[in-house]
Amino acid sequence: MADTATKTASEASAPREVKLPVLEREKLVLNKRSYHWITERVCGVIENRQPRIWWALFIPTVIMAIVGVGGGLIYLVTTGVGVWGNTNRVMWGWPIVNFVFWIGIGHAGTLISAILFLTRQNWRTSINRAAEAMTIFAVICAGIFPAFHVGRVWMAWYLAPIPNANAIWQNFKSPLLWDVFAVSTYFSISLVFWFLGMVPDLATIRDRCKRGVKKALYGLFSLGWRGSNRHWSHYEMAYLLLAALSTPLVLSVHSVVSFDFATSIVPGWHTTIFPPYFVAGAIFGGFAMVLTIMIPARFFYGLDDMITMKHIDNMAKIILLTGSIVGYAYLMELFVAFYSGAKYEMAAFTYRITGPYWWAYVAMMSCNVLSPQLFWFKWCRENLWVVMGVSMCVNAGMWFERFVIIVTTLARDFMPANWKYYNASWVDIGLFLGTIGLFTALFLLFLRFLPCINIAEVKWAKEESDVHFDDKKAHPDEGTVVEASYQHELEKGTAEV
Amino acid sequence: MSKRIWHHPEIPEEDEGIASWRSVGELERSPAFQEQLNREFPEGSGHLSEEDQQASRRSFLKLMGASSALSGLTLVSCRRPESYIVPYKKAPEWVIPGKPLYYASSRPRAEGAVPLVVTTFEGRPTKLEPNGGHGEGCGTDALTQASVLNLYDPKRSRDFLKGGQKASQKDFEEVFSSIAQEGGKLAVLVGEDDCPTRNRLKSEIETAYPGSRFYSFEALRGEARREVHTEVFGDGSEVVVDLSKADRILSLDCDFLGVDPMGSHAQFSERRQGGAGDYRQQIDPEVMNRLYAVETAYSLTGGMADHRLRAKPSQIAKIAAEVAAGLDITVGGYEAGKISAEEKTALLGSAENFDKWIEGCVEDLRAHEGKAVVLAGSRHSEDVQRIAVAINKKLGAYGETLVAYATGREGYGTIAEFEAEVDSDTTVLLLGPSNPVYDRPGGKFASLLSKAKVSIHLGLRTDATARASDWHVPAAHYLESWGDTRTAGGTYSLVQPMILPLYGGFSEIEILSQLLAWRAVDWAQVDSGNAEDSIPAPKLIAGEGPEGAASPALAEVRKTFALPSNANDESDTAWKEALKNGYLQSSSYSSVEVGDPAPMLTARKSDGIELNFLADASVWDGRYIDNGWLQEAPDPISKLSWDNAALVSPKTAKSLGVYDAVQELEPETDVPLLGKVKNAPKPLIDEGQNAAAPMVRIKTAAGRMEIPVLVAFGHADDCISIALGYGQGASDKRDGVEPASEDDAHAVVGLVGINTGFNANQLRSGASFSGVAADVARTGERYAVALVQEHNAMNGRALAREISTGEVGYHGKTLPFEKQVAKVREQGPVDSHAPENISLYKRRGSTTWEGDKDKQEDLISDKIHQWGMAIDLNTCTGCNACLVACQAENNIPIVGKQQVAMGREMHWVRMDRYFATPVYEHDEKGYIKKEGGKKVPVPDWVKENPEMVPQPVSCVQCENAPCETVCPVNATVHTEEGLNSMAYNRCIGTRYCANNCPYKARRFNYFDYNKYNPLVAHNLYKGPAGETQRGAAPHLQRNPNVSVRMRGVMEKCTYCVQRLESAKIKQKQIGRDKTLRSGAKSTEVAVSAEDLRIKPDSVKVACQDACDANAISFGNLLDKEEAKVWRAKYKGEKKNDKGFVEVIHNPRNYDVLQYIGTAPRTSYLARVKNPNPDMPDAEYRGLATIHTA
Repeated sequence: MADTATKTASEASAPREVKLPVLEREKLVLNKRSYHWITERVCGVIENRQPRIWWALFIPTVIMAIVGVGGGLIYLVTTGVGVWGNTNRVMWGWPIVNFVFWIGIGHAGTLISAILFLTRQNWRTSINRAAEAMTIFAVICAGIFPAFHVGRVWMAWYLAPIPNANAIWQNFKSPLLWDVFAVSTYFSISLVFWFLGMVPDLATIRDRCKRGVKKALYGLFSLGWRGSNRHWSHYEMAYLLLAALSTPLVLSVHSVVSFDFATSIVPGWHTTIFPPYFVAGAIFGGFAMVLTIMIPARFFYGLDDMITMKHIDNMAKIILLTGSIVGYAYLMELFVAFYSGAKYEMAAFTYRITGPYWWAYVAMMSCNVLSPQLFWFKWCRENLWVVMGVSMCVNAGMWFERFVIIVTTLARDFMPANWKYYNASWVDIGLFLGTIGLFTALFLLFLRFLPCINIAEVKWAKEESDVHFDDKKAHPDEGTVVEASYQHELEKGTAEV
Repeated sequence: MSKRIWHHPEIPEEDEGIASWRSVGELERSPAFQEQLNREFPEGSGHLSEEDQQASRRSFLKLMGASSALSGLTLVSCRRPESYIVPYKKAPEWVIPGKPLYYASSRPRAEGAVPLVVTTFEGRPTKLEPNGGHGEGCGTDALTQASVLNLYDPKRSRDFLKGGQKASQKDFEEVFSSIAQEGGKLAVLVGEDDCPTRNRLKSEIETAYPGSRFYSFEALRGEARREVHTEVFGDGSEVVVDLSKADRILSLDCDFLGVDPMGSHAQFSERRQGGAGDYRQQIDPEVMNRLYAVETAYSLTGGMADHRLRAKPSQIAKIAAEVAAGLDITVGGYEAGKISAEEKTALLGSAENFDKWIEGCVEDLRAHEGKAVVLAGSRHSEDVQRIAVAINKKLGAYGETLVAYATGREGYGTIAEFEAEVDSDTTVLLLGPSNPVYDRPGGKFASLLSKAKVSIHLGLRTDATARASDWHVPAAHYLESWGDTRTAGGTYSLVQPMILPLYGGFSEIEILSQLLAWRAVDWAQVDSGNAEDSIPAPKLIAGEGPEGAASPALAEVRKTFALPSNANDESDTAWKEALKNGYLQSSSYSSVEVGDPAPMLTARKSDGIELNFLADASVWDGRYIDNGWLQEAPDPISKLSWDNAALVSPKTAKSLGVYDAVQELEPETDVPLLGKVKNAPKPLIDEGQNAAAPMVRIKTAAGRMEIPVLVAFGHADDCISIALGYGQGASDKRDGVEPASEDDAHAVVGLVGINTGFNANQLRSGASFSGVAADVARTGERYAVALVQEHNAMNGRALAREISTGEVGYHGKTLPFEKQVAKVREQGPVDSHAPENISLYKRRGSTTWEGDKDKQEDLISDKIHQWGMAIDLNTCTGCNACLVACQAENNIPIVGKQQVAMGREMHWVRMDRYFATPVYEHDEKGYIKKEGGKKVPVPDWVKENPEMVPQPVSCVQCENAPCETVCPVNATVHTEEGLNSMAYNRCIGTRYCANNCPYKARRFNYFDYNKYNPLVAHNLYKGPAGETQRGAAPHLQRNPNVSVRMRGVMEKCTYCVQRLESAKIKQKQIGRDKTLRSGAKSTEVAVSAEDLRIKPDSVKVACQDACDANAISFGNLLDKEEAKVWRAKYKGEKKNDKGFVEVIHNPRNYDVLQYIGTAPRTSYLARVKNPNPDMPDAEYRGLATIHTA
C-alpha cells in the first residue's frame, strides 16, 4: 500500500531536464510517474499519518481561529463596533481592509479552475484543487468582516431581499448590496465547482477506504460515482458549464468590490480604473497565496513530481504580469490625479505618499511593484526561497494596498477639520490574526481529509492519456527520447494492473 | 364611554416670534389662583429622593423619558426592555404626554439675565429657548443652553453636609434657628446677578440682623473693573454697550462676543450685516461696523475683528495708552510706561507699522465720534479700565454707544472687603454661584471660613467651598425656584419654577426670606410645653410649603414685583401678564453720570514669560465642570474638549523647548518628484488617540502647576494663556487639585468633572488675571488630549469663504468689493471651474423647488414645504451655542474624553474653525510677487497673526445626497420636503453613508452611549458587563419627540424634523377651524396647499433658535421672498432663454463643495471683512480663501 511517511519515502525528483528538444513541452508530471503512482501519492496524503509539521501548524492556528474569530466576534457583538478602531472620520478601517484582502485571495482559485480550464491550460490541473479550496476558505474569512462590521449584525438580514412586513426593499443602487450578491454568488458557485470537481477523486478515496464511518462519509460525498462513461460524460459537461459560469465571476466579484469605492465620491476612491485594477490585484494576490501555501505543501507531502517547477514558474510569471499591471495602475492613478487638475484628487494622492500613512504606501509599492520584478530573472523563479519570499511580500503588500485605499483616503478627505489619524485596536488585530488562523486551519483540514490534487485531471494531463497519443508519431524525428509510457513501470513489475 | 381629549393650548394671535408658551396666570383666573399655582406640578413631582424610586412619579418620568423613547428602537431589535408604564391616576391639567408646554422664565447671571422660554414635557424642563421681544436683543449662549442639564446632574448636591459629612435637615434647622434667635452679625456673599428681591431682602436683613453686610462676588468679573466703575459711575453701576449704534469698536482684550459679554451682541451682528440683517438688501460696506481687537489669546471677538493686534497682557494697557494719547488724552505715567520701540517691532514687524496701526485706529475712532466705542476686558487692570473710560468719554460714547446704569446692586461689599471684615462673631452665608475657596488665589479663603463663627454654604455642587464650610445646604436650580432678575439693560424678568426641587434644594430667596421669618418667630413659645401658646418649631421650606403651600420665595417675589419701582400694581393682572411674558416690558435701569476716570499708566516691565488667565467657554469659572455637554463641547478656539491647556504661540512653544519645531499653519514640504507641495503632516502632538501634549511645569511667585501645552495660532509671543475653572478634583495626582473619588457622593466633582484639566488658580497671586512666570520647564511627561479638530488650515480649499470691503488683487485683476461679492461662488480652486451639472436625466439640482409649473417639468413632490437653511459666516462667531442647543434638542449623548480623542464625538453640529493667512506677498493684481525667481513670503508678523473663520457644519441635506445612494437597506432616504432623513429602525450600520458624505456630517453610535455610562473608566468596552445608566437623572432631560439611538445606528441632523412635523400638524388644524367657521360639513370645505403651508419663518430649528448672532436662517423655500432663508440664498427670479424660471443667487451665498454636485440645502454666506485701508495689515485681511487658496 501507500508509503508510511509521505515525504521520506518519496523518491527524489530528477533534476529538471535542462535541455529540451526544440518545441518540446515540459512534462507536467515528472519522472514518468505512472497513473498508479499519482493515485497513491495523492491518496497517501490523506491516508498516511500527517507529518509533525501538520500538527505543529494545526494546533496553534485552531487556537488562533477560536480565540481570534470566535472570541473576537463574541466580544464585538456583545459590546459594539466601537471595540474596533473605526471612528466617525475613518468609518471603515481594518475590517473592510481585511474583507477586500481575503476576497482578493479568493480570486486565483476561480481563475485557475475556470479560465485556465476553458483556455485548456493543462498545467492548472495539479494546483486547481488547492487553489479552489483556498478560494472557499478565503471567502469564508472575507465574509466574516462585512457581516460583522455592521452596527447591528442581528439586523443584517435587512440586506436580503426577503419580503417582510416593512415592505421596504433593499436599495439596489447601493454597491454594498451588489457586493452582498456578488460575494454570495461567487461563494456558492465556487463551492459547487470545487465539490463537483472533487467527486471522482472522493470516489477513489472511498474505494480505498476500509468499511466504517470514513467510507460512509466519502461514499456520501462521492454521490455514487462509479466512473462509468456516462458519469464521465455528464461530469465533463457539468464541469465545463460551471467553468463557463464562474468565468465571469472572476471578473465580476472584485469589480463589484471595487465599486464600493469607485462609485463613491471620495477623492482617492472615485476612479474608473478601480475594477480592472482590483481584478488584476486580486489575481496577483491570489497567486501569491497559492504559492505561499503550495510550496510548503509540495515540500512536506512530496508532491514535487506533480507540482513541478514548471507550475511554480508559470505562477511566478503570472505574478510578474499582474504585479506590473497593478504597478501601472498605481502610477496611472497618480497620473490621472495630476492630470485631472482636481484639487481634492491631487491632495488625496499627495497625502497617500507624504501624509501620516506614508509607510503604508511605501510598503505597498515595495511589496507589490518592486518585489515581483525579481521574477524577470529565471534564477529567481527557480529558487524556491525567493519565490516564497516574494509571495509573502505580495501577500503583505496586497493588504497594505487595501489599507492605503481605505484608511489613508478616509483620514484625509474633503474637509481638513475632520482629519484624524486612525489606529486599529487590539480587537482589529486579533480578528485579523484569527482569520489567518481560520484560513490556515481550514486548509490543513483540507489537506488532511480531501484530495489536495485533482487525481483524475492530473492523469489527463499526462501525454499518454491522449487518445491519439502515439509516441512515434509525436516524435517522428530520430534522436528524441522515446517515451515508454508507463511501460517501464510495468516492466519493473511495480504497477498494478 | 368616549375618551376625554385634552386639547393642546392654542397659540394666541399676538404671540408672534415665539411658538407658544403658557404661564400659570393664563391658565387660571379664578380667585383660587394661589392654590392652583401649587397644583401647577403634579403631586410629588419634585421629590426625587431615593426612597420613592419604586413606581413613583420619578419612575414614571424615567420611563417616559428614556425607555419609551428607546422602545421605538428596541422593539425592532432582539432585546426588549422590561418596562411598566404607569398612567396618571389623576392627570394634571394641560399635560399631554409627548406634547410640550412652554413657560417663560429667565436665567440669572452676572452679565445680565437671559430671558427664556422653557420647554417642558410632563413637568420636566427639557430645552431652553430665548425669549426676545423686550427690545434688548436676545439669544442664548452655550452655557445657558447647557444649564438645563445641570438641573438633572446626578452629582448635584442633595444632602446637608456638616464639615463635609452628611447631616440631617433637622440638625441644620437647629443651627439656623440659633442664628435667627441670636440675630447676630451676618456676612452674606452673593453672586453679581441683579436680583431685585434679594436687594429688597438685603436691607431688611441688615435691619433684623444688626451689623450684617452683603457682599457680591463673581470669580470672572474683574475686581479692578468694579473698583474703577464704583469710582467713576457710582456703586453698583454697570456699563452696557449698545452695539447697534457703534460704527467703530476697539476691543482691549474684551471678548464681548464670547466669554466677556457686555450686553446683547445681536446688534453687533445686525451692524455686521451692513444693512442686510434680514437680507432684504445687499450688504453695504458703508453701513458695516469695524472692529479692532487687541488681545493676547485668540478669542471669538478676535476672530470677528477686522484688525487684530496680538499683545502680551502687560502691553494691552500700553496700547490703550497709545490710543488715548493719539486722542489727546492725558494719561498719567504715559511717558514712563510707554511702549518701547523693541516691543513695537516685536508686535508688528517695525515701529513704523505699529505707529501706523495706532494712528489708523485712532483716526478711525476720531472720525466716528459718538459712534465709536472702546471696550475693555472686564478682567483687565485698573489702568486699562481707566484709559478705556477716558477714551470713551473723549469719543462721546456715553449715552450713545455705551450706557452706564445704576443697578440695584448698590451697597454690596467686594470680596476683599468680605475677607477683611469676617471675624469670629460673623456668621457667614455663602449664597453665590462662585466657589471662592477654589476661585480666590492664595488658598486663604478656607482658613477665613474657619475663622467665622459659623459658615453656611448654599450651592448646587459639593464643591471646594461646600466642603470647607461648616454647613452645606443643597441649592435649588433656577428652573426649580421662584425669583426675579434683570437683564443687562435692566428689564425686570421673572424666574419661575418648572419643577419642584428634584433634590430638595433651597433657593437663595428662600434662605433669605426664612432668615427674616425665623427672626420674627417668638422663640419663647416654640415647643414651650405650654399647651396654649406653644407653636411647633418652624421647618425650613424648599420649593413647596406644608400641604402644598407655595414657597415663601413666591410671596417675596410678588412683594418685590408690587414695588413702585416695578409694576406698581398689586393686581393679579399685571403679575400674570409679567409671568406670561417672562419680563416686565417697560422696566429698565436708569443711567448715571460719568465721573472722572483719571487715566493712568503704571510702568510695568514685561520681560519674561507672562501669564494670561482666561475665562473658559465651557466650564466658565468652574461652576459647569460637572456639565457633560459643555465639557464635551470643544473650546471654540483651541478645539480642546474635556481639559484646559496652556496655550502658547508656535514660536514661543519652540523657544520654551516644548516642541522641537515651530508648528506651521500651512507648511510646504519638498516631496521627491512632486516638488513643493502643501502638506498636512501630523501635528506635533500626533493625532487621534495618540494625541498627547507635552507637560510643562510653570512656576510663579504664588505657586506652581503642571499643565500640557498646546500650540495656539495667533497667540501673542512670550506669554501663556490658561483657562480657569478646571482641575477641581482628580483621582490621579495633579498639582494643587483636590483628590476626588468616583464613588464619593460628596466629592468635589462628579463623574463628569473628575480628572478634567488643571487648576490655574494656583499660579495667581492676587485678583489679577495676568502674571509673570518665574520658570517654565518641560517635565518630560505627556498628557493625552482630546482635540476635536486637529488640522487648523483650510489647505487651500475654499470651505469657509471670506471677502474684503477693500480692493483685493485676484487672478490678475483688482477687485473692488462688489466684484468680490460677485465672485464668492467662484472662490477656490475647484468650484471656480466646476462645469454646469448637465444630466442625462431630468433637471435636478438645488433649484428644483423653484419650478415654473407651466413650462418646466416639476419634479418636487411636496409643493407646500421645501426646507432650506443658510448660515451666515459674517455673523457666526463660532460660539458653540448651536452645538449645545442641538445636543439638548436631539438627545445627543456625550461620549467621554477617550472617545472624543479617537474621533467619535456625536455632535450633530460640528463647529469647524480654520486659521488662514497669506503665505506669499501678492501684487495689486493678485499675482505672487517674485524676487530673483523666488516667491516673496509675507512678513512674520502677518503670518503669526492669522485670521480665524468658524464654520458650523451639520448635515447639509443634499438634494443629490451621496449617502442615500450607497445605503444598502434604504435607511437614509429623501423626504418629499427635501430632508435627507434617517430611519433609525432600518439602519443596520454599514457606515457607508458616512464614508460617502463629503461633509462628514454623520455620526455613528459605536457603543450604546445612552445605555452605558461613557464616563466610567473602560465602561464602554465592558459590553453587557458595563454599568448601565438607563433611567439615570440626565435621561429626564430627553426630548420625548426624538428617538434615543441605540448602538450600531447612524445619526445626523435632520433639520429638527420633529419641530417641522409638529408645526405642520398645528397648521393642519386650519381644516378644522375652517369647517367650524363656515359651519359647513367638513367634506365640503376645501383646504388648499396655501392653507397647509405654515407661516413664513414661524418654525425655528434648535440651532437657529439658540443663535445669538442670528447667523442661521431656516425656513420654507417655497415662501420665496417672504422667507428669510430664501432672501439669504436668492435675490430674485428671471426667465432664461428657454423660458424656464431661474433664480438669481444672492452672490454672497455659496454651497460648500459645490463642484461635487450634491446640491445641498444648507448653504453658507461668505464672511466680509471691513479693513481700514490706512492700517499696515489692511492688505492681508479678508483673504482667508483667496490668497491662501
